[in-house]
Amino acid sequence: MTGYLIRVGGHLDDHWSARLDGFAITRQADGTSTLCGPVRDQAELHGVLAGLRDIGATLVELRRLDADP
Amino acid sequence: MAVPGSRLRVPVPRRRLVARSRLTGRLLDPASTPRLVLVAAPAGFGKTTLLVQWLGSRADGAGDAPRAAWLSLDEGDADLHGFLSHLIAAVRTTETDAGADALALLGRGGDGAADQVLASLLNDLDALAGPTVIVLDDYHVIDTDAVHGVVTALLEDLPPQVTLAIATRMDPPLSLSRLRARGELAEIRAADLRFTVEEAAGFLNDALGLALDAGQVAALEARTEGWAAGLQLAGLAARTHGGDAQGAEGFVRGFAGSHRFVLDYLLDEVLRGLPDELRDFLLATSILGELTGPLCDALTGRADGREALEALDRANLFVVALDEGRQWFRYHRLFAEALRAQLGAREPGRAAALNRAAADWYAARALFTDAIPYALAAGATGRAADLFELALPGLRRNRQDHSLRRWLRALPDDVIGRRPLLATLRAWGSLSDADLDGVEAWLDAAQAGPATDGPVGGPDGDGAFAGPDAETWNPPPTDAERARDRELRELPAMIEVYRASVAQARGDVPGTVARAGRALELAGPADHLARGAAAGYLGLAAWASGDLVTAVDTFGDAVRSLRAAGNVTDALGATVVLAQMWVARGRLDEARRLYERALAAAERQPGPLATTGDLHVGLAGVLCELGEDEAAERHLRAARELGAAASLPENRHRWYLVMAGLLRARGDVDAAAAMLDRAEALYLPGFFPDLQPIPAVRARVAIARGRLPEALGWARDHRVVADVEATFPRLYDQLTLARLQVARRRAHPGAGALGAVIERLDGMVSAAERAGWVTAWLDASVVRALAYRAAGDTEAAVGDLSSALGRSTVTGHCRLFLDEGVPMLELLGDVARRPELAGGERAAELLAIASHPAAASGDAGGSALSERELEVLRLLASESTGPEIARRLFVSVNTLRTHTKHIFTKLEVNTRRAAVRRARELGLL
Repeated sequence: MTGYLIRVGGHLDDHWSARLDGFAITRQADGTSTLCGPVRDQAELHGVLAGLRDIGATLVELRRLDADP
Repeated sequence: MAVPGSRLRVPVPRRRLVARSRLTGRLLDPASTPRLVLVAAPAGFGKTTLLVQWLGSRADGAGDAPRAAWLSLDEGDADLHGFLSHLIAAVRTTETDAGADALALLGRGGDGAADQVLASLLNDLDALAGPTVIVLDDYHVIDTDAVHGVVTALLEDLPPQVTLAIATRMDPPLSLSRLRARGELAEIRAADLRFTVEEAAGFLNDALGLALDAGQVAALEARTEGWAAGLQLAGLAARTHGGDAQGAEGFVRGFAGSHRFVLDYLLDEVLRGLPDELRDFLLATSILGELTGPLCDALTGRADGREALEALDRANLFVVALDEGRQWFRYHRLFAEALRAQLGAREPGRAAALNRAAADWYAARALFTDAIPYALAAGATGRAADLFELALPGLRRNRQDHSLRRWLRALPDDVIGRRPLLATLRAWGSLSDADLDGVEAWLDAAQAGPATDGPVGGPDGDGAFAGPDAETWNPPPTDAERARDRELRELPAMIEVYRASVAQARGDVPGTVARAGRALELAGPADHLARGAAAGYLGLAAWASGDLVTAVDTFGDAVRSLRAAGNVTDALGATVVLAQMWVARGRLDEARRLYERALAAAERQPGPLATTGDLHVGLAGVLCELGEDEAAERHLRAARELGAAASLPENRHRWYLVMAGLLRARGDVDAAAAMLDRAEALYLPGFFPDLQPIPAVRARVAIARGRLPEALGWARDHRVVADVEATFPRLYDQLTLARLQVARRRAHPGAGALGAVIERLDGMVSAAERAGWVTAWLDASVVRALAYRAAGDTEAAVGDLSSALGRSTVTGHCRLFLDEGVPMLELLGDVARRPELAGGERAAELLAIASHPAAASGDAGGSALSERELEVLRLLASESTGPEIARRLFVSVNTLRTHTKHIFTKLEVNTRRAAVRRARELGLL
């Protein structure tokens, strides 16, 4: 499992978490949201990204988290 | 799909639209029709609406209304067959004559059919007068290279008056940069689609009938960043607040000051303004891809589904009508996503129950392929598997391989293992992956598994649930259940057929025969597919063991069963095997007749079959042996023009093999050897008995070239040693080895006596005589004659050759003698000089053929175009449409088509663009 952090524009409600593979949503003071979660492989990550695409969220940042928290 | 054709309709908006002439105008550049219009932007940016407006604005223009073929794609279109059938259907909505051939070609299926289907569709498009637009909406759902490949090919060869328009959330892999560089791409992207303040005002105040002030409009435009979906929701929210500037002020200020995701904020706002019942209706039905009153009622437990949908439609709330009668709707995808997320958060677990209810509703109406995704979404894998079994015949008939594989992957192994039909399907998948152990494991599961006569959902722990219909009474079996039960009855025979194919792939001939024989016992008289396959394996096994009479009889049965099963392609393709059996029996005439008949039958089909090329190659091989080089070459060329799409992978090496024979006949032995290398690279073992191994053929060529060390290397590498008892499959190797020994003796007269070789040849000649292996008998007799001659016994040599020649008078064999080169020519001369011997005349004939080798002919291609065809070709290179060209030439469109077809054939191309390209290459333009 590899952890990823995804940042999108706007404050996403928690109810999107289930749609986005269980990624945990944290709303930031700068008006963005970060989504953090583990994925098994790249295909799973792309599934989450496609989910964000399909709800019209604006992708701001994508980062791999080096060590498991 | 519950609403036939709903995805082929240009969506008709009910509300007034904001004019977006700044965008549609860009696509109307009169100077050029772009080949591709790409509308690429995230969800909710109004891509579909813009395309609808663009088509509408073109229709309002100067009488130049474009024909619009609309296709809204969904996941099923990632399957190549599904995509092509929907594409053709979309084109046919605009012109019923178009795409008829393409549809027929598609129905026939087979490898490589896509190219032919597309070429046929392109030619029909070319014949359409006036501009045509093909719209592919929601292209981002396509994730298979096969479909991207077809769309790339479509773009490449699109006739000049046709435009492809693609709406997508993701840039498609279609060589966009090349199109951009050639100025053939018109792009509308998110930045272009964003509503300006003026457009936002037009939308909110004019189209939605609100009365917001300029500051509020600007605030909403800024907060939503011109996002169409956001503006629409904002407008709906403002309406719940009275719709005027005063009432909406609080909402606008609150929204503008919030960081919340636009969709979340606005959806909450809109849902809050709705009556409880309608809000619950939206959440409950959000899991549905398509909505209609009774289906909604099955989910909500109420009876007001129809009224609720009508209310949503009137209020422009989230729904899109799918049919003229406004019975079926779907939610705007973006809103459906948001509603589903809300449903999951508010009522965890309810989505599963709703999905089950939807699966039951569809299943009760025998719409199994619609029901399966809901059952899977509900996590009810046992129920999904039961429905899958009922859907199987339809999935096979419609060649929905993609759905088939996807659902098979989605089901757990233990659920599949309990259902013989699905377990056999998994075995078939393992067979295509060449995982033989996997095949057997799944077949074991299929045989051990219980028949599915238990209660629905019972053994898989899905819990007690069944459709309302199933609960109240025990209905008689439906058509689908009867079809499934028929498949179950036929399954034991098919399982044995699969086991036979595993045995054959393992080279286990007795095992193959045992399994295939058992399959024939188990198969019912009308079970043509199992009968055909089993007889095929038995025929191949008989052939491999040298029982040619049984082989021909049994394989003939297989062909008849395949034909009865409606499988024309395979039935005609099997001719390739049957004809080789006849060749082994020395009946070149019968082989020729079978090929010619099969080719005539293939020609009656629209477009080439997946085996038409193989038939040409097979006939070329027979003609080459008969000494009819020119005819053989014509058929080889015909096969090459048809391309790989008209040849099965297991037959692809044959073209090079026959070409090698032809080149050898013309004395170009080096080129023949090169062809054999290519044949070997393409050879796929395991499909047919390897009775004429390519390495041995190459060794014979090496011997003919005097390259004995190379031939010795063959014998060493392939461990071919002299065998006293040569069985039928080893005979070709043994006769090659005997040739090598004779050639060595000729080259080195002291290289050992040939007594042992001749003795073995005696054995082979009589074995072949007894078993009726006529071609092998001729082969062995020829080698023995050469052996006698090399040993100095000319009298015995002449005697052997004389009887072989006598027989060849009947069979027509020619290359078998002449390929032996100089020693044989001398020996033929000896026979020809002695008129009292049988075969003297035949010897003279063969010598005549040998002294007049057919001139090698190389057709540069295109040189044979007539004046009229050149005239048509020049017009094809222009921007004129088919009907325009026809008018200029004063001929009908049909006559023009005949001309273009001839041109395409002569230039070996399938489409107009390719013809022009080729003609330029050949300097004809």
